[in-house]
Amino acid sequence: MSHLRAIRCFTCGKLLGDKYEEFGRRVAKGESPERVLNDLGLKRYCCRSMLLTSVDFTGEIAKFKR
Amino acid sequence: MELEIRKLVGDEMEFVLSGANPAFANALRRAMLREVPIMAIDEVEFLVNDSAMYDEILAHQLALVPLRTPDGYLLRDECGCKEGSCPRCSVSLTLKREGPATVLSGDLKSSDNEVVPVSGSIPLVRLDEGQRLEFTAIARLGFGREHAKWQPGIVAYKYVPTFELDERACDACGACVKRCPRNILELSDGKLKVVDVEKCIMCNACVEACPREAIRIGHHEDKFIFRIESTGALPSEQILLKALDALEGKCKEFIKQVKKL
Repeated sequence: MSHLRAIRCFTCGKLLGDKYEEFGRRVAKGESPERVLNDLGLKRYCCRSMLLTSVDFTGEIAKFKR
Repeated sequence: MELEIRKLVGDEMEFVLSGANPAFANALRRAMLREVPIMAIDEVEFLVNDSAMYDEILAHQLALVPLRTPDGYLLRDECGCKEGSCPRCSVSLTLKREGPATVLSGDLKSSDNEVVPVSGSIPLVRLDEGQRLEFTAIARLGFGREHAKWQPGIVAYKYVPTFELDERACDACGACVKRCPRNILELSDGKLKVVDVEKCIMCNACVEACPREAIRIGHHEDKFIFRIESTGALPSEQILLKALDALEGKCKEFIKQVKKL
């Protein structure tokens, strides 16, 4: 199974799918994760933890057959 | 009963309901979560899927993509078409991509340009060199009570907290100010003040911190702060209005049943 990041927050159901890219890009540039999460409008710690902790394995797994 | 809208920005809405009781507030909350029909992908037919992701998993990803829901579509049961999906009760979304690519929600081609993903930049699956993906998905109306994909948003309410201070007992020692996790207490001119009582989460840390038992935390019995956070499928005020329609319908049905007695 390919492991793409979750589209919705596991806990509350908020849409997160369109936020990983911006989060990753801005944090890599050196911005504080706290500020980026606030800018993205993520108030609850369930959503915030999803962005902070999930890892995208798709690149490694895509080459294998199902 | 009174309604005061505090905030209505984008997909978020906040209002204060007063003169109600917890039973009504909760009925309203549950109606918004469970009884408001919105569009979501319900069926997917894969023609080609060379990706590393199983059909079922990809179908599940697709179902969780929130779709904008215009008025006018019929529920599957109301429509009653033989095929189970016709242009009156469903929308078809197709996708055809070849790798290398990250397939995004924006790649879905909808048969109705009003029923489209709320965001076009949700990654669905990654395709490697030469891998192909082609499918047709059918989106239809459904209710949150059936599946979370049909839940129009996140709806919650809280009681309006009250902060009572026995001013004769308080010696302004500041112990509560330090303990408050929301930082809503402050000392000014030797007196304890609450900055914004609505931010209080009723944790009672200040009550426990106070050596002189001068603080009492409570809440209003008839006042509720509601927050609606739409997924984008419907504007948040529509979620409220449609939930009220659903409640009205249920009450009317009940009256009909009672009159039969």
